[in-house]
Amino acid sequence: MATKNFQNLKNRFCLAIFMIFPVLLSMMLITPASAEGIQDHPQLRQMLTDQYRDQDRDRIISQYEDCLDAGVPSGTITPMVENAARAGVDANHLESMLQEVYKTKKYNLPPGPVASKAMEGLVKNMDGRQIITAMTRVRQRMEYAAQEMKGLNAPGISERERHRMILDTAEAMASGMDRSHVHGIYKDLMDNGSGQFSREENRERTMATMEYMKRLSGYGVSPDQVAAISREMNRHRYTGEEIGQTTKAFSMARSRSWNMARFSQSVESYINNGGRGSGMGHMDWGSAMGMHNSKGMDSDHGSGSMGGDNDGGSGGGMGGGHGGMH
Amino acid sequence: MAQKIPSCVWAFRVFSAFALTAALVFPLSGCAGRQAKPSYDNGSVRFSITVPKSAQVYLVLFQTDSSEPTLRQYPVRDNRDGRRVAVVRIGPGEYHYFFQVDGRAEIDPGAPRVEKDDFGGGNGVFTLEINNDGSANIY
Repeated sequence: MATKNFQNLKNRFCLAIFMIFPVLLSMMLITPASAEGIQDHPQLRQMLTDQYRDQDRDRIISQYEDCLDAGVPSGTITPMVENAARAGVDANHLESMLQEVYKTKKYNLPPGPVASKAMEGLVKNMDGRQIITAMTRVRQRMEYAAQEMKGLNAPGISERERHRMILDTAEAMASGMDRSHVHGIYKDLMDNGSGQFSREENRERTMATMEYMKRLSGYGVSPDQVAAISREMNRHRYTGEEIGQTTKAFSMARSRSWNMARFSQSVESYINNGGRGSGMGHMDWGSAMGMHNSKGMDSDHGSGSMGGDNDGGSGGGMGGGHGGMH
Repeated sequence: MAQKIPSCVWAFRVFSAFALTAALVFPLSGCAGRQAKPSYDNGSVRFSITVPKSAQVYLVLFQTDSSEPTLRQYPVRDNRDGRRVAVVRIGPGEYHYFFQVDGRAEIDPGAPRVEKDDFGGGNGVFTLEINNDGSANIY
């Protein structure tokens, strides 16, 4: 009796599998056909139909769908195409703009900044050619960063972290870091990292260095100084946390409108003399920079001050404490 | 033979030159003097610009270090002090921005930093940092 019941159950199970399998198979086959395309954006299609000749519209749609197929999120390119069509961008230019986004994705780079640059250009009423040139620059900066990263011995970096580092490096370059300085910083990391730090420590150092490079360039520190301090940090085997503390020190200096060139020199000397990252928050930078009163701080904007003894006054202080970073 | 110009005429000329210069320069310096950098209050950042009352103004704000496009336009309203103001609720981070005045992009004269924009112009840039006590640094 039990054997018969088991046989019955087995038959039903086989029948169920036999029935479910074709359904699953057909779902798998149908999926690519139902992937996102222009049919999901009827408003965009209508806009393109109104704006361009049929032949041009079809080329734009084809390039748009290539981007989607390559994995570019529709939220990244749909607003770009809508705004470009609304602004009356020439069909060839719009196609090239989409090609730039496509190339970026194909190189395994984040396409968002390239599409964002196009949006910025459209809002600024730039013509199609200028927008494509700017988009290409953004892509090339990211490509260069990705190329430098390949040479870096930092295994265990996730795709998201890789994109973060590429964006940081590209941002630093947009703020004025040239290729030779960026290469120097990557090389220092490579030469000083392997063998001296664990895999995890290397990952942290790399991430922190990219952010350091982006922030300092943005604060107006010269590429020479950014590279020199990075070299010192590597020479003194700064950990990722210490590199982060150095970056924070620069943010504090920037928030108080201190002269960045003088501050950079002081930080370089501090590290060169064996100072560690953990001590930066307690350092009397005013004395280190050779100035003992608020009037002597020689701010970049002429309005900076020490806020007395760094009590974290209105100029802001890291951590809101006693002028220190915690 | 040169005729001597009376001193009162000289005085009038000097006064006229001074008055004309002041009339031209003062309004401009007045605008410049009222430049305000973005400020933080209760979770929002306040941007302001002085433009003619009839101008159509938008604030365009975005982050370039994001993997997704973040560019957004915000309306700018009139303020009682004659300035145009936009108040935007944003989180900590680094932002790029400019004003769109009658379709033209204008860099905020009070921007903490300015960076090139790949179009031959620039954008205002600032970092917003929120402290533990709820206050913020903008630099």
